[in-house]
Amino acid sequence: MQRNKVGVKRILLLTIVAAFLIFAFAACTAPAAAPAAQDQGTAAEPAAAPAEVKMLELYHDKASWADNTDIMGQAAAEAIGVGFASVPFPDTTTYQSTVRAALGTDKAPDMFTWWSGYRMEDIVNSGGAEDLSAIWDKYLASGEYTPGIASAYTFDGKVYAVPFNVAYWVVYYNKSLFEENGLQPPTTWDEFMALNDTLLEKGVTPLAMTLDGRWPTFIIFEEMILRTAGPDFYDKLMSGEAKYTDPEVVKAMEVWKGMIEKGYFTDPGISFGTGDNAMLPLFQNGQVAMIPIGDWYSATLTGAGMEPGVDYGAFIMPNENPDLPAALFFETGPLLVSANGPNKEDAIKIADWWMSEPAQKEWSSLMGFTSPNAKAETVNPVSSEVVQWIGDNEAIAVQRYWEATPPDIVETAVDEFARFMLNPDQYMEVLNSIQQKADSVWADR
Amino acid sequence: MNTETETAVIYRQSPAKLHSFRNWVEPYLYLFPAVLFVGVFLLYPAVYTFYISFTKWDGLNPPQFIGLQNYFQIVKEPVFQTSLRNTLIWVVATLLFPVMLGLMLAVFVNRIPLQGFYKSVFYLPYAISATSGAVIWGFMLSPVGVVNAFLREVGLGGLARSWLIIPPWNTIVMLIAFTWQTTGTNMILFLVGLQSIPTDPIEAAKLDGANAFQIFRHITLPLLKPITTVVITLAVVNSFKVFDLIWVMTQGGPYRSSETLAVTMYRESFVQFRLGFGASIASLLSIIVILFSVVYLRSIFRQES
Repeated sequence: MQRNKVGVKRILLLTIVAAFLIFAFAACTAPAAAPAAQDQGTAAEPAAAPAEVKMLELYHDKASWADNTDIMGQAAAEAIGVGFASVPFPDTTTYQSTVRAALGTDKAPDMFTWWSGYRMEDIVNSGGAEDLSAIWDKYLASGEYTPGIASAYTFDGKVYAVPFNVAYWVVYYNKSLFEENGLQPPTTWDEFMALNDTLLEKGVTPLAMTLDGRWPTFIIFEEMILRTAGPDFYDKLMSGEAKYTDPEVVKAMEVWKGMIEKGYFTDPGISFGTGDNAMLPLFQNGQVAMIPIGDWYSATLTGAGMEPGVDYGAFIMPNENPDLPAALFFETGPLLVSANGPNKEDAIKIADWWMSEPAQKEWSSLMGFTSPNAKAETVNPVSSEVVQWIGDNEAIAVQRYWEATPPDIVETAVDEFARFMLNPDQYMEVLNSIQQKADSVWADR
Repeated sequence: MNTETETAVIYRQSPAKLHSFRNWVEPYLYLFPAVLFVGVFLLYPAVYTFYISFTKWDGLNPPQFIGLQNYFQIVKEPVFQTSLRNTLIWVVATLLFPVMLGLMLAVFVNRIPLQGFYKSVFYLPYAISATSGAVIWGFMLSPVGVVNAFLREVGLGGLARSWLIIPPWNTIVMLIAFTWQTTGTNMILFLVGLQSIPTDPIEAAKLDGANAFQIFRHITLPLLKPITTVVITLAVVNSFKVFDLIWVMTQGGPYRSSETLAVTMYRESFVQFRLGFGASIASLLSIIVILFSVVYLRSIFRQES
């Protein structure tokens, strides 16, 4: 009996130790990044591909784009013999932390999406991104791309990414609501103000504005600067040559404050596009008439059953100062190749293919995006009209606020803009606070 | 023959030595997995975090040693004062609501029939993850959510508001959500304590004419002291590190008005990528929690001895 007890104890002990060692071994040998994606519960199964085709991994934080990204990965496999599968992360913070931690190691993702401009700067400075200038040289020479987009990824004369997407910032409007009420998209600031007044009289909130998710607070700010002070001043403000306390910015804030006080905007607690989307049904039902946002939002609108050109249209917010040139904001999401990635050469091949006309046609068709490749036509009629407007007005495309100035300033500013939305009278305190941060950031650089 | 004797001697000594060795090593083998787990997943990260708190690190480039600069910076940052104030509000409110309410519910449930049913009802919110609970509350409290709809329906539309973006309402409603979720656990712990109290002193007090409040105040509450100590310690430690509910409901906003130290630490580390600065907040938070625990538990033990 005693021998049996000892035997059982020994077996139990050995089992525990063995189980622990197996667990520890598995933990030590598992790939560093893949479990992080699986923990999020959304890591896509690699797209089916012929057995002999090499499939790379593309990390991104756009979970709702994962299926279409996998279709592109499959198309790449068929076109150039190297494909890719997406590894989507539903949470941006987790995504950024994972990629940053992996970039300096041999577990770096083959390819990954990021944010352009100043948001990309530290990735490039750390040596984590591969120089893709040679690909750009080829496509710039063929005339398929313009240098403007490359500038968003250029550091010390080298281009470190290809465009995963390019979006123009527009004002989406409920077309059915406009037609029912005999309203037209405005072409001047006065028309814009009159439109807002008319909508208010009809019991419709003219414009969506939210602080949900933090970042959307810059949307109206950047529009106000561009419409009242113009693209040249905006560029100076972004590069630290102008101050947030300058009269131009003060005027922009006063115009914004006046619009808030007139009741042109929704309750800023109503979200759109980040987390839940309480704004969308209000827009669909005609309770909110217009949403200023990037044209990537068309995927959300069409996903909700709204037909482009029929249920919704888009216009560019008119200039408050009629002497200013036509301008609009653009945003571009870069696709980078890891300098330390295990399949760097194949990833560069994919980046090259991604910029080509067939790939861009396919991607634009899948997502309804405006393609930066001049040969790839834009399928979405609303986006086509925007491209037409840019050409007709020789409009200047300006990089949006999020990437156009150092992140430390932006992070402070988006919180301060939220303070302003809730307390419009505090606009000078808000501007002083942002300028204080800007002073310290520019002094450190 | 001689060889056989030697062999026999060795044969007799060997099991004794082996047995003694096994007795000595066996407890350590049982402990080994737990010690390794705690070492790898708790002690090492804690020590490394403390080291990182003396550096400037963005997670991409190697950390640069900057001495106590992060700790001096904490004092200068206005957001730290807001976070510290909010954290103290959370600590006090956690003691006032989830703990006191848990005790009241335990006393109530302990006296009524269908105890199992009520225990399940009050404990159920704790079975929902904090994140899911926060999402549900977020929907309910949105400007177009059910709370405002209800207020308008009953003619109290004037009270409807954007609960999550107006300070201090955002902190108040998050505390309500936290109370909803955590009171049940405290109730269960207090119930365990109540049911382990001997009935003799209570019956003696009743015979002496003590009323229900006097019995509770002078007999039940003192006898509950061990479990009360556990509940208060857990509640305070949890309130210091509350993160998920706040992050999901407000992300510490608007304009960082509802951040606690744990949220500020996360935000500085993983949104702003000031990992050294975030580590200094984490270290400070750990020191505060450890200090509280040591001081509180010592005073309790001193009283008991």
